[in-house]
Amino acid sequence: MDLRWRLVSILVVVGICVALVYPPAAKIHLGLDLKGGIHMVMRVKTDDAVKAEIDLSQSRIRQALGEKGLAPQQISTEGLDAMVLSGIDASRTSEARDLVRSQFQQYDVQSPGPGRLRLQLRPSEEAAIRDSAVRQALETIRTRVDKFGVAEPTIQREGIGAKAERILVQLPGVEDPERVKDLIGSPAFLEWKLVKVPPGIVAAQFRPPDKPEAVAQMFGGALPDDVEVLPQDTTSSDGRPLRVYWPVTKASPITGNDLKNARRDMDRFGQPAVDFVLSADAGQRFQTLTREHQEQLLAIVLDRKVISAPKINAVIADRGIIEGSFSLESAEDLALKLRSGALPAGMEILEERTVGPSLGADSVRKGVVAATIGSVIIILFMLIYYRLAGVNAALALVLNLLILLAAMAYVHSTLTLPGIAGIALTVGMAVDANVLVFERIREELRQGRMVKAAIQNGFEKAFYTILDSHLTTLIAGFFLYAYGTGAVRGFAVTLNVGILANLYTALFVSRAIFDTALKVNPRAERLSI
Amino acid sequence: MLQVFTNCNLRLMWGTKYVFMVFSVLAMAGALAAILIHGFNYGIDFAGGTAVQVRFREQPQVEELRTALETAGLGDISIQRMGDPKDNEVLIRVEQQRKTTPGGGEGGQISTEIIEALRSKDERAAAQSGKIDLNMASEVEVEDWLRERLKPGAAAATAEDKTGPAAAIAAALVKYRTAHGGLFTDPAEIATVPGVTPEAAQFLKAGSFLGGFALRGVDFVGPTAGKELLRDTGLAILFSVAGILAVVWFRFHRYTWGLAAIIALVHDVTIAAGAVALTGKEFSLPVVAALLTILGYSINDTIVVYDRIRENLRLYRDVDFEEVVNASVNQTLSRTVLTSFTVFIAVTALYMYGGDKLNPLSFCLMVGVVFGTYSSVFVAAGLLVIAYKHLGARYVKT
Repeated sequence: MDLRWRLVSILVVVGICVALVYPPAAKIHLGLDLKGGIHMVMRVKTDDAVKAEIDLSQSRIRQALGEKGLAPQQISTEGLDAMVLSGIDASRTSEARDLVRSQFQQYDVQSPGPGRLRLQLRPSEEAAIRDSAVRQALETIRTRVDKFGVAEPTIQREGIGAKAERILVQLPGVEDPERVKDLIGSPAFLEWKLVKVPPGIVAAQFRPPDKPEAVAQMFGGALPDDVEVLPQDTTSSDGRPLRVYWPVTKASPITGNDLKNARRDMDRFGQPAVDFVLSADAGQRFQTLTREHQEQLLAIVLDRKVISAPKINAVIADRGIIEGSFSLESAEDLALKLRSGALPAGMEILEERTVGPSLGADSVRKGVVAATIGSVIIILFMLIYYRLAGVNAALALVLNLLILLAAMAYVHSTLTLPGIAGIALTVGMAVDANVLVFERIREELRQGRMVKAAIQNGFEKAFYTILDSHLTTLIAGFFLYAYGTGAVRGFAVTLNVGILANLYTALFVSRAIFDTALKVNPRAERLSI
Repeated sequence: MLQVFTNCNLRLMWGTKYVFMVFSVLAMAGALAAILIHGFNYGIDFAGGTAVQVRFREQPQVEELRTALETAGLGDISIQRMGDPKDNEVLIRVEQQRKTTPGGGEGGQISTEIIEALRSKDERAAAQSGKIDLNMASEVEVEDWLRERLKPGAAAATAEDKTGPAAAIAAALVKYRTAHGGLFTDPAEIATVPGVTPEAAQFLKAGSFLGGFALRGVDFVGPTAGKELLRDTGLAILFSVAGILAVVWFRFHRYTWGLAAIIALVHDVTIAAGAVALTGKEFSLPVVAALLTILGYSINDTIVVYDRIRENLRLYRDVDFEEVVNASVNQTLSRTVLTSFTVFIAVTALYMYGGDKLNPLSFCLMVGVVFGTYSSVFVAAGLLVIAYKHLGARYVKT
């Protein structure tokens, strides 16, 4: 390519880079460790989703077989992903098997003996369930964070391949980890369940006991099949925390999935509460339910805990209110979570880091100081060692940094503390390719070549070496990126981009500078190198 | 012209190479012993637990802090001074793990307990009487507190109400605090913060206090996270090594070259890791990044030497193999030393000025750079000669 065009193209690259980077405070996105905020890594407990699928199938299978008079006496789960149906009419086992096979294709159905069926969830189905649970959780968390209102949040799925069960959430500038954890980590699965008052007690006078065994005793020793016991955290009359246990129906006629909207409101005493609107279809069901169960208690259950259990006084259609001992903030948060939908599975917090803004500012300062000191010494060294050619290397180094920052700004990559270390290291390695070329040129000069030929040969001979060595370094950098999490990834990004920028500056820019010098002084007999 | 090595012709192969081989074997054995016997000082990235970074107004008495925390029943605690002594900063690590409650980790709870335990009796009394700790309160807390006082009854307003004087004053206070290391040291400072109205200053003087310390950061890592990280790290190293082996094999046509390069890599990474174990530097995630970088750096150096050997083998077909290798190493020596020197400068600057968080990473890199340079000559090139002599020319000639 004509030298003039090469110089023009370099100027264009510099121009684009400057435009991308300037002003740096706005264009370079600082990571949480530099800016301050909350960093959280959670794992979606996808086992929950598999379990939910099995539970759902159980009730559907029971119904499907029941319609044909084939109802099994017992359905038990086996491990996480299989169930055994037993006590089916022995003579019609194969009929039941064919029915289940045709209607529940996500299972491998076998008949280990007369009257028994074994259903195993297919591995591909299981993988799909887990994957969709993670995707759903990601969407839900994203919605919740959006509604909470955080500038520039990062919400990403992490991990390897289809088994990626981790979700990374980074909320810059947020300082209250407890609130955030609850807001994004709690499933927020809301259910309405009828309270099953033990025989012989009037609903209005029922007081839940503070021991779960006491509930069973009220029912004469054993709970009925369709009843379960759920806790409620409350305070006793003298203000101490107290946990009581409610007997409620296993079935939940209405759940959070039926909600159309929810917002924070006040109850009739002026206390914070959550006001909700149900979808049309659920409204119908709610109306029937409240009409048929007047004067009974209806428990509102959030994530397997009773919030409150008011008495049904009126027929309620599609609108209602959830009362409980809410603070302004917790009512606001619950409404937000209900609007965003429930998480499909529980979350386990693997990692949680809070960085105060002052700590971040310190890190930036120290990192920048270290990188600057390193660069200055290196540039001085190159100038002393290679004299005029050292200017070339220094230019390459500065351009290298500029391209690196511009690329990071362009792909919206965040700069983390290890990222700054990566930049410092890039500065050290940036001159490597220049050194390779310069040393070759010196060798050629020693062998008595003319300046022009020496430069030509130096670049040509160093070319493959530089390509080989940078390529293999990139391989290590690639895996660092692929398997790294958080901070390591930030380091890998700067390192890899730095290596690529290095290839460009050393092979293209540096060459153009030498050629320009030759053009200015074509009969140069000495080279300041 | 300034030169490190001019036309140097050191005898680095022949007998010399065996001396260095013995040295390398001993160094690796020492590093392995350090890793296996001494072990790594795992940071919370891998060990799990909670780490709280706190800055005090006055010189902290580490022993007193330890007693206070132990009395609070927090179990195994380590307290470490951080940074410049005049920063009055400590890192408190608690390894205790508790069952995670649904919807929340324990990180916040344990850090809350640590903060409670660190507070003096007076501070606890002040906090209980409704005073606000301006060194601990977040911007939102300061804002809510101020709003209630500047305009009583306004606290119950909607959460969307983010404007008004309370927000501006809270922002000004927190901005000032952030700029001053996250800590107010003198109560008189507060009224002087630009943006604080005299009215607000009055309320703050009466209703706030300055706690003896400020929270700079909290890290919590669950027990399973570390295992996953270690697994991913192992995979990253394994795949990198395999990838490098493949590329070197492909570019140099003989797997012996790839194997020799890989042995040199393993040598460098082992020694760097051994140095981290021996010095008791914290083995954290950034150290893993450093180890992987050493992989990349060391191979870079090795390839440059290999390239020259390959080039010279083509030029001088009749010259003895060992002679060619020795000449190639000599020709590339000045480049090898120069590049290492510049990288070493960069890493040393990081080690000296980069702060505590980057200290283990830069230390690991310093060791790695030195050994990476050494190994590309004495291990990677030396092994080629050994392979040539003991396995036969056909395994080595490209």
